[in-house]
Amino acid sequence: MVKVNAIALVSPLNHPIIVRSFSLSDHLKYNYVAHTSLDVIEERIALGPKFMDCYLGHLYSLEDVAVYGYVTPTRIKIILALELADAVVRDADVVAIFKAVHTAYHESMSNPFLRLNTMVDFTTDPSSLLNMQTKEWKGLEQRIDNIGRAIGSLPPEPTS
Amino acid sequence: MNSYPVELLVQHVPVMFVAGLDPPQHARNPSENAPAGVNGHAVSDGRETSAQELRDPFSILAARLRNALGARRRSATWDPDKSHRFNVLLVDKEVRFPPRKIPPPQHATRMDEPYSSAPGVLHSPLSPLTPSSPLYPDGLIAPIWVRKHLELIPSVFVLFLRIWEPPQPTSPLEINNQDRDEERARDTDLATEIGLRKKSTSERGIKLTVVLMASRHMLEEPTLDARLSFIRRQSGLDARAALFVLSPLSTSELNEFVASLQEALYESATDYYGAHSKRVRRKKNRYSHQATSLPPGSGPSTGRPLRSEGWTVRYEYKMATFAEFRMEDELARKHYEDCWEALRDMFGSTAILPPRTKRWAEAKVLADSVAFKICKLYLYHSEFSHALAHFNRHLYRFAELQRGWGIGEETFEFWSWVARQYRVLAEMLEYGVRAGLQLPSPITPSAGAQSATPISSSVSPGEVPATLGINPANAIQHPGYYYYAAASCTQQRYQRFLAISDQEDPSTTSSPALANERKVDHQAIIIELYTKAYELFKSHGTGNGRLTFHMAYRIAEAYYSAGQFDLAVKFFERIAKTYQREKWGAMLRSILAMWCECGRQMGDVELTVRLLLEMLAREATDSLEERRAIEEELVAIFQSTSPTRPIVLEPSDFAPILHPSIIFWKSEVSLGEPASFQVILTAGDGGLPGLEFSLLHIYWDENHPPIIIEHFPSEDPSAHPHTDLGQLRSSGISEGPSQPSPMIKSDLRITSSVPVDLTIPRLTLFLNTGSWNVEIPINTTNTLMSAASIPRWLTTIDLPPRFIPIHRPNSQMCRVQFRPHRLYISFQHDEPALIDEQYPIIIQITNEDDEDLQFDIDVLLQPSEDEGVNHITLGDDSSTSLIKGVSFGIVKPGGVVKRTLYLHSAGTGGDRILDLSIQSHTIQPESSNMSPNTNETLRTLVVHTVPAMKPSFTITYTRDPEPLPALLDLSKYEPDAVEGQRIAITTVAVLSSGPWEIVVDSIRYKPENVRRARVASCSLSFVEDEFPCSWSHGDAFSLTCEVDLYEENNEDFSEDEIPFPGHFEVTWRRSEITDPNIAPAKTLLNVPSLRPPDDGLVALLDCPPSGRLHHPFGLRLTVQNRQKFRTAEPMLDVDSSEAFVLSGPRHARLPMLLPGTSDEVFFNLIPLSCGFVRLPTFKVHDRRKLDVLRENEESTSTNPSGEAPTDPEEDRITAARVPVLLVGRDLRPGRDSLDLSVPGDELSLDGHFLPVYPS
Repeated sequence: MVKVNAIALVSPLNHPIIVRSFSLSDHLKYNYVAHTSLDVIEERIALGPKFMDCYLGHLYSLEDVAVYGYVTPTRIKIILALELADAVVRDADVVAIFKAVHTAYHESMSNPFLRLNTMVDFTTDPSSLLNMQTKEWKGLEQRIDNIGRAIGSLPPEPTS
Repeated sequence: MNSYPVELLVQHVPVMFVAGLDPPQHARNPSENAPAGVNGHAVSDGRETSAQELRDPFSILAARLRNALGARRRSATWDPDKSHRFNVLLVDKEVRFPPRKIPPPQHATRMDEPYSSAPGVLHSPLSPLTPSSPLYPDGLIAPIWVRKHLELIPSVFVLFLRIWEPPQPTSPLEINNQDRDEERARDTDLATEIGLRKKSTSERGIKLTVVLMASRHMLEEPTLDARLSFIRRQSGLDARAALFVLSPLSTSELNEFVASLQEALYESATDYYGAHSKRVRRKKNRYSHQATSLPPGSGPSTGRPLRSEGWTVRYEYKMATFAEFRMEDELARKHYEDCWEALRDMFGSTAILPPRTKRWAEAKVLADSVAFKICKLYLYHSEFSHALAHFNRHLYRFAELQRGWGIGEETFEFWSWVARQYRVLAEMLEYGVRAGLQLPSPITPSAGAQSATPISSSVSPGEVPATLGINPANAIQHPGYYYYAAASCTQQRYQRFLAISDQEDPSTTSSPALANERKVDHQAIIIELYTKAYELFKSHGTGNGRLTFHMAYRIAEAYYSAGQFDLAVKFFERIAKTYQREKWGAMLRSILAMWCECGRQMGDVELTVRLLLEMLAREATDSLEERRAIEEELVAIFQSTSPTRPIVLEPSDFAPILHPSIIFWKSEVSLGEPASFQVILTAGDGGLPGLEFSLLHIYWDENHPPIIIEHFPSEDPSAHPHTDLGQLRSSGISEGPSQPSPMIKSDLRITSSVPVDLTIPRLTLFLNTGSWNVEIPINTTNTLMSAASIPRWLTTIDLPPRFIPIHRPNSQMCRVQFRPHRLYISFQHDEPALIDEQYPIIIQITNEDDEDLQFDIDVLLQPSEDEGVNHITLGDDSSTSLIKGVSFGIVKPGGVVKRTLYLHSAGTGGDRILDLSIQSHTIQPESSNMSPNTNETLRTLVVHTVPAMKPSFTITYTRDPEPLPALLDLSKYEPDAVEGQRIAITTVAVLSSGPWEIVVDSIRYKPENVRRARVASCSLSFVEDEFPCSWSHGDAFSLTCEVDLYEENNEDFSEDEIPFPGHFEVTWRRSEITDPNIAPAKTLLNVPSLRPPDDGLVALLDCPPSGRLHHPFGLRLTVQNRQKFRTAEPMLDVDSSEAFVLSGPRHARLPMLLPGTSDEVFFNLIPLSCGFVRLPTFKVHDRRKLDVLRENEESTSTNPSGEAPTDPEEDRITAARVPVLLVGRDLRPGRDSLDLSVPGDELSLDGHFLPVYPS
């Protein structure tokens, strides 16, 4: 199974929605990974609609991470940073993680209380919600952590 | 790449020595030592030849040849070119090759002197078995061995020589014997010289080719062939491609010559290297057989001899090298791979290669360079994934080994090595790309999966289905990525180095490696590598340069670490903007922190202040302690320093330090009405207790001075933070305390005298502390907070503050508008309106404003749902839908204007909808250029409409009892003769249904010409005197009208439906309306079409309406055949009645009746009793054939009074009963157009009664 180091979601306007790294120390690094991969994603998208699939595949490898990209139909970009190991990464595994993250995002966005205290139509740019730091929006972080646990990139939650 | 010996990396191509082209002065000065004399020196020195020599055609030829051959010199690292070209080295004619084998040493003397210790076994001076060799006793391969084959030993030796030419004979007949002798002597010398060289080259298997340079004249000399044969024979040259003659040529011809020469000699070169390969293979095979039997220590010196693994490495490496010389990439790569694996095995055991020894270091270099060669050979054939797979294999394997040697990830040596690998890879790729290597373009996932098929096999063959994914480590990327990796590894190396060098322990800090490392300028390397990566990303980048920015960030970081703060700042300035624009806060914060530190280090106080404020603004995840520290630093700077100039922050680049929120309470206000608004400035979590803002400028219009709020430091910090600044007109200056709290809030009201959109586009905060004056502009229109959160209106000045969320869009704007005009609009009309009448609606507008107003009105009548067309009339305008712009004139204040709108409704009742738009304008003096202030008031008026009267129609049909004209009656053929008369009796009842009393002026019959019908009489003519009469609700009026219906002769088949000949017109008005403008309403009563029933055979009894006892009266029975086609054969039966005495036929067969004819039978009756008595029963039957009858029988079987129509005389003939009707009772309803059955006359079959009065 692939080891995921970080998951990032980026809005259509290229503002960060969430950058969740599964190791505490490298948060900044994965911010950079997510940001730089936007270049490659834009390049892939510019290749034309003929080749467009949600799953953009391997974007690049840098240092110790292999970066994979995914674009939802609403142009939310999902970026996975996998630990770079000398092994074949099966596309099906990566796509499964992407789909899980996509679902997590949808479930979080479906929270009707998100819209309670805002006037912004955040379907175009949900990143502004981040600045609100609403309690409801934290659900996404929780869901992404759950994905991380499911694929073994995060240790299981301690049972209290 | 510079970190490895160039011999180990360079691309091998066959080596060609070229001698005899030296410039003359060098030719006379033969150098003993070939390596110093080879290559470019000779070429460059050749330029110094004197002008005289330049005129010598052979000097020119030699120089040109040098150039042509020198241009073909090849020693590049990246050279996938497979053309048959040589690495040409210009050497001296007398060049000597290095000794091939030397005897083992007997005593230590000079290296190059032959000596032997074990006679019989000779070894190369470079062999590990030769004690004087640098590899003795256990070295693997030294770069010098490669250099030997690259520079000291050619595969082909080309010798250029001048053939002696006798001086030109003065006469063709002159034969100079002296010349002939000299020629022979010279040729013998030449052959001897060649023979010597031939001997030295043949020893080594080197092909010798001699090029004799001769003049053109010489080429035509007949003796030349003989001389050449002599020289060849004498010198022992090969038969093939060994002797050429060249005369001076042009440069291009020379180039061709050189190319063809190389082409001709290429095979010899391949053979030469092939022979080497064979020799090595032979030795390897021999060695592998002997390996076990070799004594462990065969050398007298210290150190262990090379072990069998080492010999394998040597042989594989040599075979790979020779294969590379032969341009056999595939074979070379396989040998290199074997060599690499053998090396890996050697490294696997510390017994074979003890770590940190000289041999170990040499072997590491060899392993790295072999890995490099393998990658390169893969890349030559664009097998990128294989190349990277091997690169990674080398990296991972040797990283593992290094951990075993104690130089794992925690040491700088490890990172230095990894960085070197990446750098070499990057440089190789860069060379390759520059030389035209095409890196695969970005691939789609599916394509990537396919192209990855061969990759996976190199990693873990057979484990993973290859088509399902790729190994991301093996995906080729442009060299920038690898430079980046090298740079970041170098950073790691630097960190490890710092960690060790900081230690005080002398045992670690005094090691030679560390001492060496101290000399390295890590920062410069890091910056160089990142800069290379930056350039490559820039040239490859297609996106928005985020990757490039990341490189720039890394460079800045490196500059920052290296203490080059000014350079770092330049980078930061550029990078920060991108991250700011795309709201990547985490990255921006790290940049700001470093940037700020740069400012501190550079002593740039202003920059530091600026950045500290900026850092305060990004409060998102900074801890509270950090914020306090920043604040304290700011305060300290403010107190201790003074700026050179006031600082003005740029609003666009920076997030606001306080989040502004501008709210207007109302979205619209009238002119002169104060617009309340609040400016709420919110600091982030924890507030800014350390900073005191002295002034707040609120700009609400660029043309006006700002509202200035000044803060005086208060003694009591818990004082009320609220100040009512009162009302402001256009601009105002107000002073009041404003507390430095998490929230500064001002309550303001603005009044405007012109219509305008009020906004607060920007605010400016001033920090005046000590000598500092910092101006912080805040752009209120586009900030994060205002975009995302709902604006809130502070409702209480008590703490904690409470807010009302304002859910209005554009709440930061307030529109100032003209006050709406005060006017009163009323409508006066009496509902419901009646259909067809002119319904007056009085519109009354009262000007309640304090200035003159002009009113215009538009009326729109909505179309009705039925087909009726309604009209509206206002003044002179009339329309079915819209009347526009009817002026009501100018109305003084308090004045009233009235207009009557008439609505004429047609069709059915229901609601009529009128939309009225009343525009009011102020009257502007003509000199004024202001546009008049216009208000529009909209009203909708719904008028319920009912019909004034409801007519109902009853139509019955009767037959004329007069006999039908006979068949040959000539009157039937008169022009206006009518036939088959029937009468429609039409009754019209009109019910007054409206709520209002109406006065009916008249009801008139308006005839119309209609075929087949005419009105015979109408009851209206009797009541003309009754009008006008008034009808109240529920009153009814009835009229009757007889319509004659007839058939037209010229028509074979008459239509079923006959329109009523005319209509009735009711003229009426409302009784209470006396307005002479209102014309009386006219309602048309349209009688429905007449639908007379079909006729058949009928008998009509015509008798007086009543009888008198004992007074005889006559009775006529008319049998009419009104059928269209069928002949009737009527029979009459009369049953007597007790009440009458009857005279006349009782049983009779009447004559046959053709269609449209009739017959009459007369009776006399005397009543015998009084009362409503029954007449004798007249039965008329129509004799019919049975089968025809059966249908009729079925249709009449339901008739209870029907008798069985039996005729005893004829079984097959029966009779159908014919209805017998009393004239005057012959009333039938009209035929429903849908009901095709004939309306029955059955009711009349029971018999008829007649009132009989006493006499």
